[in-house]
Amino acid sequence: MSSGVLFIIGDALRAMLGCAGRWIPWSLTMAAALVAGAAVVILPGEEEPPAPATHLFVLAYLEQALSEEEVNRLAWETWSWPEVSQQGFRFAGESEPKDIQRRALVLQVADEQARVVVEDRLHAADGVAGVEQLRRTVAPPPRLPGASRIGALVGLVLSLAGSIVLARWAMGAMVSRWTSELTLLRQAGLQETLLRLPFLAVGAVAGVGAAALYLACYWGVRAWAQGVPAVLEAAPALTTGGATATVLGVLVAVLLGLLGAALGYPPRRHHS
Amino acid sequence: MDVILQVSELRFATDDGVLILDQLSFGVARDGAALLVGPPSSGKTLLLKLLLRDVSPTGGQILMLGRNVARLPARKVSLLRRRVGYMSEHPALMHERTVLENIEFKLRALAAPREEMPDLVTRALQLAGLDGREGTPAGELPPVEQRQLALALAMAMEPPLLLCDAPLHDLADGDEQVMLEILDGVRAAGTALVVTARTAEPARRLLEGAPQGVLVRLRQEAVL
Repeated sequence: MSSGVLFIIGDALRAMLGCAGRWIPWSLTMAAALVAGAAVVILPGEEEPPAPATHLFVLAYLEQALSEEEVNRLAWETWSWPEVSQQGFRFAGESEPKDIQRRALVLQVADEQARVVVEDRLHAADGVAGVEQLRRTVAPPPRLPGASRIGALVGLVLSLAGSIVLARWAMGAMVSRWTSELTLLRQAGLQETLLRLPFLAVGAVAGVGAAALYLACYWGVRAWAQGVPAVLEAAPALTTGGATATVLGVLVAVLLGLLGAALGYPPRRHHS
Repeated sequence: MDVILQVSELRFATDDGVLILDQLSFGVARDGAALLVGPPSSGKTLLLKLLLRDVSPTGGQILMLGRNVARLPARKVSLLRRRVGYMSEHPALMHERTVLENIEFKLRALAAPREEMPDLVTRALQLAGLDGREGTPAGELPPVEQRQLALALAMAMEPPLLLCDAPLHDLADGDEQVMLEILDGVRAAGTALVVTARTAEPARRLLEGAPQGVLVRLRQEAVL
């Protein structure tokens, strides 16, 4: 790129500083469009609400006199039963899946039929002082209302339309601030395509500003969500694809800026 | 005669068929001057636009700086335009910038070599009679000096040909003489002139000093 073009771009960017009141709102709406776009991707779509899940447990209380070796043998045996999906030891003072008073082997089973089978086997097993069943209903993960995704979509459309309107407004101010320079350059014989470059550069800079705002929002929400499990459960996509969201966000922001600048640049007016 | 501009049988009609320029022919020597005279709307500015290929002629030929202007591709028109000084009737001045900043802007935008820039600026200021006015904002200059600054801008890249659209228009008598002296100086320094005016006087003086002076009268009944 020739030094002349670089100079023109630099001069236009300086002029851009003089109309900050116009391009800052433009950047803000572009950032809003990016945030809304990210929300459309991240928020889960409309689906049937999941039913509450029921977990079935069988607790086998172990005899006090049982040696470690016998405990291990019992655990290996229960683990070999196909009806058992998970198992683990619990000790007095623990509270999961219920308050435990003495050493117990907790077995999770898939359904009622499996529970009956496992209970029968435990009753017959050596070293088991007592058997207890436990049924626990687990609430489904929190869900965002379906309207939130629609709201994000509406926000995306509105902010995109707003960014185009504000781009024309900002570029109009830029052109009127730079009219003499444009006329002089046209009279000096600079090609129209070359004269568009400074305006496109202004658009790209406004886009980069929007990208910075978007990234601050995206990573800010992501960091905040790490401490709020309900948000992570409601929108699991929030914690994945950070690099993609960053790169795409910057690219889309710059493209939006360039598009706004191209649409906002006025057609050539012949000098008299 | 070493010709820098040759216009031959130039013709221009509007889309509606109104004939504005018809069979216009004249030549300008490399050290010469042409004065295009005509009332308002007689096609003076149009002729300059045709020379700059802002608009294309309906017929005829324009040879400028050895190029057939009508047949040049857009990219080469741009290059040719950089070699021709053009002073509009309504010059584009950056009113908030100083005289010096105006000239430097044009030179830097056209990628003039940095090492030559101080000399180019000095010569443009001297030629336009703006010595000592470098630091004055263009918007604070009186009308005649604004015209001089427009001339300095047109001459900044030291073109061999200068097209001046109505340089004396709306100037007071004394200012007209100042402008004529400056234009005389430009021509004497080796730049060919094409100047438009509504009347032959007082601009005819430019032709008297020129070794090859041409007075072109444009038809008066043309309507733009």
